[in-house]
Amino acid sequence: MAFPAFFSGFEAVPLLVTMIMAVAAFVIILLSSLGLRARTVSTGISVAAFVISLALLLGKVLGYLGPILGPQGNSVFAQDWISYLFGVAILIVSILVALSSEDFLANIPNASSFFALLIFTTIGSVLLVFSTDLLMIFVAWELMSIPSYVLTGFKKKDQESNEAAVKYFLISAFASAVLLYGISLIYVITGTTNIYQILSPASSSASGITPIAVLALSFVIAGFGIKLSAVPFHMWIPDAYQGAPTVVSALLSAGTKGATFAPAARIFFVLFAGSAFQTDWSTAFAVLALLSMTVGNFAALTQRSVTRILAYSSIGHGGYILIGFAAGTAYGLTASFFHILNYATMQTCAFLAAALIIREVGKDDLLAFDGVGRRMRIAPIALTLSLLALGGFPPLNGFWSKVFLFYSAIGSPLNLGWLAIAGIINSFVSIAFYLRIVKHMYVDQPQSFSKLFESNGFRVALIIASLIIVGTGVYPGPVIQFASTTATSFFSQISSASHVLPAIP
Amino acid sequence: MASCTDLIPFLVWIVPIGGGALSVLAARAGGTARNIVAVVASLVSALLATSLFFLGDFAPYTTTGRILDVQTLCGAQATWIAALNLRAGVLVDPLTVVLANVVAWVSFLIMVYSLGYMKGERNLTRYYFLMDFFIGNMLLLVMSDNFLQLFLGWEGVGYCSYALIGFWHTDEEKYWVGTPGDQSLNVPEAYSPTHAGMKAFIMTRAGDIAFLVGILLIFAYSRTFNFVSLYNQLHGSSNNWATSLSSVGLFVPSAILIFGGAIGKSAQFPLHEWLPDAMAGPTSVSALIHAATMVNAGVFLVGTVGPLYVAAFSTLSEVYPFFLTVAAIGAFTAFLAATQAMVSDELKKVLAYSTVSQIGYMMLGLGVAGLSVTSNFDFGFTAGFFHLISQALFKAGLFMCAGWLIHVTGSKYMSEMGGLRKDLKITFYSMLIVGLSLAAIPPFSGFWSKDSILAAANQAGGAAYVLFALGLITSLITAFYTFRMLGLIFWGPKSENLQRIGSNHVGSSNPNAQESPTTTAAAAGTGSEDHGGKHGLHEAPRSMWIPYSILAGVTVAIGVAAPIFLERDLGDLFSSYLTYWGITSVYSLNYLSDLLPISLSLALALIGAYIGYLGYIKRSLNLSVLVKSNSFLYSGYKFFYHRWYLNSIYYRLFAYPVEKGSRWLFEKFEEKVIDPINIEAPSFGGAVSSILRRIQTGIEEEYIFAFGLGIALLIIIFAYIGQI
Repeated sequence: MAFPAFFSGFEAVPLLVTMIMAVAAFVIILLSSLGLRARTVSTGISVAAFVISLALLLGKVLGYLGPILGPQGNSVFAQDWISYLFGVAILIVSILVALSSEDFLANIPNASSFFALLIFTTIGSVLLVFSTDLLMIFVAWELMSIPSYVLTGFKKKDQESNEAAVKYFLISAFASAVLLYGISLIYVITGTTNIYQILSPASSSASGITPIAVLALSFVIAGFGIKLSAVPFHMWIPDAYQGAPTVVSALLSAGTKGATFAPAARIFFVLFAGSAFQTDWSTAFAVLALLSMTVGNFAALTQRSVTRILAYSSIGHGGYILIGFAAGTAYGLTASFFHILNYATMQTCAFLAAALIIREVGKDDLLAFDGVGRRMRIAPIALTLSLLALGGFPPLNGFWSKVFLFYSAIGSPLNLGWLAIAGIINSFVSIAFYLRIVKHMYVDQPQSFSKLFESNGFRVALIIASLIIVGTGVYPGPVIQFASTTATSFFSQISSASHVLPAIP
Repeated sequence: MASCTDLIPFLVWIVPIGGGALSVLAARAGGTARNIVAVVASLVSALLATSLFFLGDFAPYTTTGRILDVQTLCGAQATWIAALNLRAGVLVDPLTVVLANVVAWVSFLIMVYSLGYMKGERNLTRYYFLMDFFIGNMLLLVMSDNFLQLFLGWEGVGYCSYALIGFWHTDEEKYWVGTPGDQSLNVPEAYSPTHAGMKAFIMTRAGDIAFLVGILLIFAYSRTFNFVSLYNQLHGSSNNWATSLSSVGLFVPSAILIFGGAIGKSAQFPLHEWLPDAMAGPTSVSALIHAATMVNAGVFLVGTVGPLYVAAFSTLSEVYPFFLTVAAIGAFTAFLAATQAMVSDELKKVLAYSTVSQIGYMMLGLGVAGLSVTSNFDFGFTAGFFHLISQALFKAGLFMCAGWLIHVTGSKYMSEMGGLRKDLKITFYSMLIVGLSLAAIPPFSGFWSKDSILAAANQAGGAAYVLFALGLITSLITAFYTFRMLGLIFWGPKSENLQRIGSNHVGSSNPNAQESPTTTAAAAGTGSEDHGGKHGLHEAPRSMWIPYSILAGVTVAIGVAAPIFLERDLGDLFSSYLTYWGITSVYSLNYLSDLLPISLSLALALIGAYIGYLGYIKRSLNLSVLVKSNSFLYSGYKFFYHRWYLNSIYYRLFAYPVEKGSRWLFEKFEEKVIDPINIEAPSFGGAVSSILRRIQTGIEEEYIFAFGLGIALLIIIFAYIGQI
């Protein structure tokens, strides 16, 4: 593909992607101020922007648009495999959410601003995964977060939606402050905000961890922990996901959360590779993983609200992903990346299917789901498939990545076998509440047999997601390859830039 | 070079599976659309299989075979799970192509036959789906280039076999196999279709577990499932999977374990007891699965691993025990099943016993091939597979004829037929030809193929002489029971049952009347006009007699061509295949120089045929009176009739104790231990859950407090635990 000279010497894809999406957002706003407020128009524009962006990213991944070079110098953006892997995951989520929102917003005013905000959040997420400078990460983080507060409170006449938005905003603001403070402390220690320069020998003169470094690490982890839904930074999640419009919950639980793992992986693995931060970081992640899995899965057991069950399930899956971080090997990161990719489709599909059913039956109570399997065609099947995938049933995609995660814990040189066992027990527990939803939909008698409406937008989104779940489950080869290329190239970056190899094999 | 024709070996088995799924959709448009889709899918797959002969550099008679895998498929990468080194692939070589063609074409003929045979039945969507799914899995099994994929196909056909044996799952007595009331050692010997299906599934599973363990043993030492990689490793270093298995003494055990799968699937002793009862399924199913294709999978498996084992060692002694086991089990099973076929009154059971017996011959052929490793491996190998091909054709023909006979007479017993040669001319001549082939009367195909197995056994010498003798005796018995079967059905006076049908055109009222589609159709109230004994003894509809007369014609054609060129060419083809696996020998069959086995087998077959002729065609010798008057013969008759008591012993040894044990476990363990746990575990989870839920207060200040605690936790971990 030939680009104008303006782009020469510059890897144009991330720029193009953000520009395309920004233009789309402004076009939507412009059209709406001109009086063209039809939801189909906004949906069409945003889906088109997302699809083109996804195509550009995939073109790069598949090698049609030149090779992926890796970080160049001390630029604030890196075009490495991590950026592309997370970019693909985010855009898949955004496409699915946008498709479903067309119908979901039927009775909610100001639909065009919803789509503009959705696009802005997506831009923020994409920038976040491309950023390699701590300050840029923070800016992108805010760009991702702020529109999402508004989206959470989008049903402005609805008290629960407002409450959710306020809770989410307050704790996020707090976390942003903590994160920024952590970043400033890192700057104090290393004298740079560029992640890959932190690795350079000059920046790590000190040996052994100092109290300041401990504070810096803790603050950064806690700040990200909010979005990663790591226990005990998870408290806002059930309330926010339940109160928010359910399609926004899908975006929050899969999109913004998934995106946060990218800077997390970059910062933590790079920091821990530098000698100034040598410490037993694996235990910290292992503890967070254990807490998240246990709290998420056990708390979900007795919930009556489907959105809260899915919210706790999201917390539990955050824990599974952290297992790969704790393992600290390239294999562990492969497993985490693989699970993030799968989790993006599984969780989005589950939330969107639940969103449709909840809107049609009017409540998110489990009892309202009774016999829905006979009243709708696509949504119950998609929900069942995604719940089974989340529970880790073969041959769906969630099964493979869980196997990889647990195996990475067992294979880790850090003796994390116990974490794998905890993960397996948690998987086992989680099946109880996943299957309970399925039981309510298919086994229990409905109160009414009238058919429920399924719009085409929802149907397309759910069918695409289900096909991905089944397709990459039956044939996971390429996805595993993608995750493994990403993890190994990231590891070679760290070791080539560092004079001290990370405390991992 | 990769090209898109490389897709064909994949399509060969994907098409029937997809066609099966499509036929389910087509069923919405009506029964005819469904039938057409199902049959066309099997035709397309057969045509694709034939096109493999002309595909690229594979031309028969000249090639050493070509290995395709997905890596070269149109340049596309199709690694299934790279981390586990699993790839999907196909093997296009003389063996797989020849077998794929036999399977695909016989399947197609039987699908056409099904159109007539199953007409008016209920649940045909299930039937056609399972048939197509079976064909796809069978071809997958044959074309696979690795153990894992082969195992998938292996289990797929096993499932279809189970589901189709139990096709008439309502278990009316007319669908039962065996005569209700029959007992031996207090074990009932009549089974309902669902019981028979489960029996088949469970017994073959026993073999499959052994098979799986064998595969995993090889995998543990080679880290691959792929046949070609396994072979290449043999040449990579002297320290390969075969030698390491051998050094820990596991080589022969692993080979025998894999052979265990073949024993189960091909119904060889000691896992042969499921096949006779599998006759509870529709006859088209018996023809397809339990005569022509699936039961031969075990032979194919031995033919696939056999060359690998031979290539693994230069000396005979390492692999000798394996091949001797194969040959001995084959010869013994051939004899065992043939004796039972002599005394059975149920037509399909005679054919089932004879299938078991004929597969025994094939195993004998493959086994003795390995006993003469260095000199003449390809001789026994070719003989085994030649017999597989000819048996598949004539046995499918026999079953299809039997299906019509049972239908038109309304009885599964041969004693309720008789004198039918004038009424059913086409069926009579077709069945006569395929029957003579089974009896190994020249010039039909069965004669040449069985003869070459016996010749191979004779050549192997040593211990194989015993097996050779056993094979000769069996060929006498085979000819006898074939003539008994033909005589009972087509000669002699008409039975009472037939006279009733012939005189007043009213359907059989025999309570044992089995699987007459009439009865079901009538019961279903669909009242098809064209069925059953109601209309007297008339010839089969075209969709039924054309397939089996084609098979009769092919049997004659192969019989004529075999001595002139076919058998030699087949031998050359397989020699070239074996050369690829590093076994070099020149196929050398010469009927004239090997007169002993050919003349002995012919003489014995003629003696057996003559006894059968006297007893059942000319009927000058009343064998049943003879047997009943002699207590020694009568106890022999009882012994054979009750399947050497093996069936009842199995029930007493395995089925009943397991049943008793599981009832005990249910009462003592399930109800006393598991059930309380089932109640306690969720309530424990619930208790934990409600404690955890209490944290979730909904108050924002407390959330931020928890956030602070989290930071404290991290600081503690980093500052203290991390420093230890």
